[in-house]
Amino acid sequence: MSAFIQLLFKGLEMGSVYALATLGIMLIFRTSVLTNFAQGVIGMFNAFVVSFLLTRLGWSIWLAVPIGLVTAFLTGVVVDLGIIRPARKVNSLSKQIITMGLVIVIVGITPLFFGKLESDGARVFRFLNAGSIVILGTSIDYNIIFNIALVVVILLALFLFMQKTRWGLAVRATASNSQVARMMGIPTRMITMGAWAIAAMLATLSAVLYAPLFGNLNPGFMTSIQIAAFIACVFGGFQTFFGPVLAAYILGISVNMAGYYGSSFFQLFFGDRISDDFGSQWGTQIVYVLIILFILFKPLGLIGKKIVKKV
Amino acid sequence: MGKSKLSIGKGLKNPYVQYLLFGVILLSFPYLTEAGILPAYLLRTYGFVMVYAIAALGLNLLLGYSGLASLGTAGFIGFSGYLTISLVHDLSLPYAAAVVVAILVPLALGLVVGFISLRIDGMYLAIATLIVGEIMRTSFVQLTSWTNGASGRGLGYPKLILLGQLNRAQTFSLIAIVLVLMMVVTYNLIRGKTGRALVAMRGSSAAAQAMGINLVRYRLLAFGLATVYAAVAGIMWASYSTRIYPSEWSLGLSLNLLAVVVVGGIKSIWGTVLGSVIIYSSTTIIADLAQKIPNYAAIKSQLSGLPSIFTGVLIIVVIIVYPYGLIYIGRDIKRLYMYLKSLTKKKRGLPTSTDGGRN
Repeated sequence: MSAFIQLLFKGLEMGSVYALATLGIMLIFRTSVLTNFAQGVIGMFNAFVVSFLLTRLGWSIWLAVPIGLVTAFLTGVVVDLGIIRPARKVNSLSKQIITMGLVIVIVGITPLFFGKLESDGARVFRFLNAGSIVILGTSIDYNIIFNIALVVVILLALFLFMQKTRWGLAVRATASNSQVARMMGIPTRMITMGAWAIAAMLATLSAVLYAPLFGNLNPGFMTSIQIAAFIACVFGGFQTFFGPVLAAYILGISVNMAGYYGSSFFQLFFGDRISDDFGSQWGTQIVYVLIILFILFKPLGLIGKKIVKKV
Repeated sequence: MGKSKLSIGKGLKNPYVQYLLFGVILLSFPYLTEAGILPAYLLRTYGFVMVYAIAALGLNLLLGYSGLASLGTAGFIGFSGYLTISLVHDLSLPYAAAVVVAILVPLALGLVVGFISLRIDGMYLAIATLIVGEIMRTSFVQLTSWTNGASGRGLGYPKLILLGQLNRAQTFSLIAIVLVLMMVVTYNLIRGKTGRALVAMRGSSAAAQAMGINLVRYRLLAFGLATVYAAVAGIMWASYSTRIYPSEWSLGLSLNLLAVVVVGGIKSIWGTVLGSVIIYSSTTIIADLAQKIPNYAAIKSQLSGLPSIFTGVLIIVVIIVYPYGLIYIGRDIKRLYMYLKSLTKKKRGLPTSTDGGRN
């Protein structure tokens, strides 16, 4: 039971990281009609900014993270103005390749700014360093609780913003049909730029939350998060914002659980003979195979709306 | 005399002659490096460029002609690479037999992915193939007794039935021959019934079905073909490199292959080759140039990203300026030339009398 609670909270924490990245990808998908491969690296770059402020300038994390979010906002605006807007006539697939080119550029730029920092061991600290709470006989770090709660608050705030405000309505209108939205007088360019900026901030926050779990930062440290977020998008269905976020949490919890229980399952059947090859890491594959099977039976995802295609 | 010149020009327009010439040029590379005319590192770089071109040709069949995106190519390349090594070293099969098995087994897996494509398409399919690729990559990392983990596993240069043990230059030639063969096969495929069916499917799957094209058959065929190309690339990769590592078969490789197709030219065989050259050899060239920067050793770690910045910017700029790929730049230059020519003709046409007067 204790292990289960521990796994559940760790899974929720991982799910929170996935959820932030997923929501960013969805925001851009719905407003710019492209799956953004650069979501992870934008977060990575700004996590390096945070790490610089923390370790080189000795700032407190409560000050460094907001500054990191400001630079993330600027990154998003620069990417939209500099790359996505000039490429608006390009077809959807090629746009995705452009974001991939962006990944390569940002990965190349990072050592230019932070090469020294990276070789010295770039770190991002946890928000709450000490203290834990006992839940059902299991001790859980305050930081885990804080991270989970922080993400829930951010998600709720964003959903309220989307549902209750005029700007949120504008975003939803752009997402549902940008051409018609523009005809109705909605500044879709502004909305798209805002979506990129907010997505960059979400990416950065997910990178900052994930960094202490990862250890020393490197330019590739967000790749696994990026992939998981994509999978959550498909798993949850691209048509709603809520589906992918829910899927992100399910993914976070199930990868953790399958890793732990899966390996003990293998050990039960095969003993120690092949424990070298069948370590705890097999959780990921088990979950991925299940997700592919799920997609086969329900191609539109958890909460998928059927889009009727006219021929 | 004039007639024979004309027939040579006509011959050059024949794609088969072009492919043959290309093959001859590639086959001359090992001799040129041995003679010292070309630098030796080119042999290594271009060996891999050809391997990428083989895999990218398959991806172009899938993406360019059939409109199905795949992000799992790297996994299949790695899978057949490890299969070849394992069959030759663990089961001590001859190279040729290993090659056959290392194509057939990934092909079976590719057909399974083809089945997935019957249910979903577009971005869903791309990410589903990404999941397949990730499953394969993480499995390579963890099956350490098979892949030898991060220390990598090597095949050594292949030993063929009639020719015996090949050396590096001969392996280069082998890859060149395979690449040219694959180009010819691709050309024949897309010119025939299959190619027309795939293109029809790309345009509109519903319309293609209405025209009597069996969607199940051709989607499976498209995925099967792409997998065979990837498997051949994997075998060549394992044959040419000293060791292969699980980290090589990441999403990054699949994305790079996608970039090869899009940057070089969608629906173009020569475009795919051009794309491979640009994406993969530019990195080596830039890294070479960077070493000439004064004070290089002191700022080496900061400048390590220069090649990737160049490649990334190139991809972005090419797509914005040439959405269908760089190979079409030739056509545009020709058009511009014709346009300029017609302009000068007009200009020359009007003031004939004044011209004549001056003379």
